[in-house]
Amino acid sequence: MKRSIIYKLAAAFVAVTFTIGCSRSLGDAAETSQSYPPIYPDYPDCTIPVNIAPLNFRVRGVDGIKSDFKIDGNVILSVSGKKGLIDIPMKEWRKMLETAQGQKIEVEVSTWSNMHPNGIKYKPFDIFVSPDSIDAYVSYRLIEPGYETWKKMGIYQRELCSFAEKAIVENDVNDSGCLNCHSYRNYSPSTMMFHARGKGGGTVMYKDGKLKKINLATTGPKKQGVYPMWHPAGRYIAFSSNDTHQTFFGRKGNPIEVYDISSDLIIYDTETDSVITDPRFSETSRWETFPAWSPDGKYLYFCSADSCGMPLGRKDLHYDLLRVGFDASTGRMGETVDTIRSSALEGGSVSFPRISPDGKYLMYTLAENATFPIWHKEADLEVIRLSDNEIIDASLINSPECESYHSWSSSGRWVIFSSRRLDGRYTRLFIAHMDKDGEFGKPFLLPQSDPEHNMLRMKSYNIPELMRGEVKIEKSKLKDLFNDK
Amino acid sequence: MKRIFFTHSAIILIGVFLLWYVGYPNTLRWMEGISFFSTAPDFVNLQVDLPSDALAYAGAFILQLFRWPIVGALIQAFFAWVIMMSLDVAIYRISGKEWLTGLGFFAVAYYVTCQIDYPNLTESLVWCLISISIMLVSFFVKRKKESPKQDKKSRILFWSVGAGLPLVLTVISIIMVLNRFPKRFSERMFGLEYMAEAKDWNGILKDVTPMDSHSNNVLRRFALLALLETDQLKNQMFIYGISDADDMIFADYDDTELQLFNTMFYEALGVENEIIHQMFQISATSRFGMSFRAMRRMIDSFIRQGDFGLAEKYLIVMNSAPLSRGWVKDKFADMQVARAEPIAVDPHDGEVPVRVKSETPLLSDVVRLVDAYPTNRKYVDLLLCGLLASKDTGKFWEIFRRVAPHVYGLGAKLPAYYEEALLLASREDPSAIQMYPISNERKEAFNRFVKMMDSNQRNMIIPAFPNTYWAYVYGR
Repeated sequence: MKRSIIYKLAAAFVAVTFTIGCSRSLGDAAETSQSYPPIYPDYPDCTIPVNIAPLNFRVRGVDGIKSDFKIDGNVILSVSGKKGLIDIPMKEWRKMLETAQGQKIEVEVSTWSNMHPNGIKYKPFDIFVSPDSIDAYVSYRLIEPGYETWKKMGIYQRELCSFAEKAIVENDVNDSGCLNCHSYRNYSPSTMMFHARGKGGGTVMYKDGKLKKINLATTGPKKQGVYPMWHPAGRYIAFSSNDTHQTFFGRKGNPIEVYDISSDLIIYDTETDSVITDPRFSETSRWETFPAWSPDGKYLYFCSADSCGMPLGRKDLHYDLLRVGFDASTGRMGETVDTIRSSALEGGSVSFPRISPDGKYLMYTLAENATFPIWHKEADLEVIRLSDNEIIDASLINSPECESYHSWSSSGRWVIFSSRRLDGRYTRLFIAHMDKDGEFGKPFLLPQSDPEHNMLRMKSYNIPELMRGEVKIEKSKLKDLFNDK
Repeated sequence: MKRIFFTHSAIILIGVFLLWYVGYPNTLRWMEGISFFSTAPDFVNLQVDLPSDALAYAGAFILQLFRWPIVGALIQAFFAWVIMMSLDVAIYRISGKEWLTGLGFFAVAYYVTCQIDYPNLTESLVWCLISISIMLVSFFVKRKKESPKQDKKSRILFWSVGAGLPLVLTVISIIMVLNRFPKRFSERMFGLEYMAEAKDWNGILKDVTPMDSHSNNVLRRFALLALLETDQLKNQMFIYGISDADDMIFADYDDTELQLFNTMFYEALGVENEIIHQMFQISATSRFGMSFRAMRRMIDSFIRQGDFGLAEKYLIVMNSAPLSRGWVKDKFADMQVARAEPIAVDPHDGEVPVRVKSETPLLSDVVRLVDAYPTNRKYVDLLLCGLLASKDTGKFWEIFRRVAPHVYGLGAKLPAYYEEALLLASREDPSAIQMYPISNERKEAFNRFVKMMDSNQRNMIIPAFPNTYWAYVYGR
């Protein structure tokens, strides 16, 4: 009797194991679909750098999934997964991208689900692999897309060829205060700055392994530094000094308007610890903000608008894009102020001007009005070709939701930008290729080990800045800085 | 040992279960509401920064069960039982005397009095771990053997110290917890919050009497919100002791519970963005950086607004909390229904600033809402009632003649307070009583009121004209 039970249990075990084994070994799907697979994130037809991390993806609501990656019709890599997740092995992915650079990879996805128990094979889609590589790291701030307070925030760095994310600084070093506005000199991870607000706050400078904290609010003209950009030669940092407020709106639509009630330009000299001002950019009748150097350091671009009563005047607040010459040998700004884009003539309001490293293109965020586009659903990225001041087509990288902060790669071939296109609230990072003729490829979402991470992460990505390497600041030194040791 | 173990178990399990289930059921739900648990990597990283955080994470997992007060009460009783059982075993093993285990109830009873101060359960888990550790240590101590002889003395000790003392200590601790006024008040407030979330306005008015409302500004706000939602504000608010327009919200408070009340007030007004705003604030300041209650309220708000992208994101996050999956499934179904319905186009989307700094925060908000939505009767009544509460009769008349025609057709019968205010305003501007018919009864009452005022009998006004605007303004 006992023996019979043991035999039955053994037979059941073998049967179960066999069944499980069968369900795991995915063969060819029995059905074929003429539509593209409903994968998340939206990777079909995007252009990717040769050194990017695997584009893992998911098809929701399915059990088994298989993806064949083909080059010239030959299957180079075949990945199967469970619960709809394609988790591409890092080593094979890198090898495949090396082979595919300058070509397209055809991706054929099959899924198995209750609806299609024998599997369904979808129409293959393409991914274009550019031979242009992207900088090794991107840094960003992670913070709840909130209103007034936060729990934990920090500035983080992500290695782009893997999924590794590390903190550069978190707000446990400054008593949960705000950390913001990180900036690098020429993509260098060894020369950077950021602001820390609250207890023991100040502007933290990290240069060649040394940390320093300065308080711009008590230096020279005593103006708080806000939006920064490090001069390419390294001596100066341009800041706007903004008195920022916010207003909340009650019913639907854009819930918040963030605005300044004053803003000026200042230049900090890192060698003399002094602040340079120019009366033209300190007067109250005009507001200046978002300074950006040209790659040769000879021009300072910035946004500027006539001051008005805020927040009621927000609809009439339109920022122009201007530039002024700069002489790095004297630290003085030139006499002529050029208007690059006039809001009176062309409408809208400009934020975050950024010039490509080759000096050929200027990208900015254009909203209908005001200065803080992240809460403007209509905000898009726009690009001017500086040789003839013509606007080039950037429709491929924009969406019906807000596009906002952006930065160029050091090669000028890639742009990383924040967008709220996934859900309308949480900014995520997208990377787009721009070829030598100024044409954009379809952008792709920053890859994650599990794409669901984009949904589960309850923080927004702020201020993506590409860097050539990893920032290495010791946390203990940062703590000492805030404890004034 | 068996009989003492069963006696102690019965005392502690029944006593603590009843304490929580009967005495603090809303506090149990609230504990779940302010906590959050998720298996999402970001949440785990935030929670387990320090080794001690692991206990908070475990506590957060257990707190998911507190959504059902009966389960929460059982768990609270279980914590006390674990401590009791561990100490019983330890004392018995060390002393070898059964009756001595009753002394362990000094610690158990103390824990019971403190348990209500442990909303994250972290401390409860620490208590349990320490008790279990003591028990484990006792296994290494040489055990004393109890004499099998059961004489009269040992029976007395058993029933007095072994069983009687635990019973007395448990009862005392329960009475102490039930008599902690701030906790009792919080329990009542949590009950009101859940009634408000369930839109049980009559329940609130049944709970909060006018006398309660007069004496407590938190209860008053709940009562006034219930009056607003049952369209009785314009007939009842003076009975409930309103003293100012800002009595209806908590204008300058950072306290989570008071902010939570504000979200209910703004929900009543359909000011959805402010619900999200306040919920974000509440979440950001919570122990877990997010809370179940905030998540649920935000998801409901996003579905109401037709913001399905965000609703879906939050539902996916909620789905990473194992015991919320049933709720998530229901909400996905609700969302499917809502998706099929057309979303009303709001011509003033995003155009009405709220919570702008002002001397009169509520009135400022409502003025802007009335300007944007002049035909919304709730807004108009709230504005007019707010002006009455401010005792500014002149301003009331100035605004009334501008806004009332949009919601009260000419010839309509006005609420009693409005008639009374218009009669008062007519002393300065006779046209105040020409826009709408005023009943003869009210006019006669007004004449009596004026005579009383003229004869300097202000102290008689409240008894003579209870629940009137006149008594509110001039009564002593």
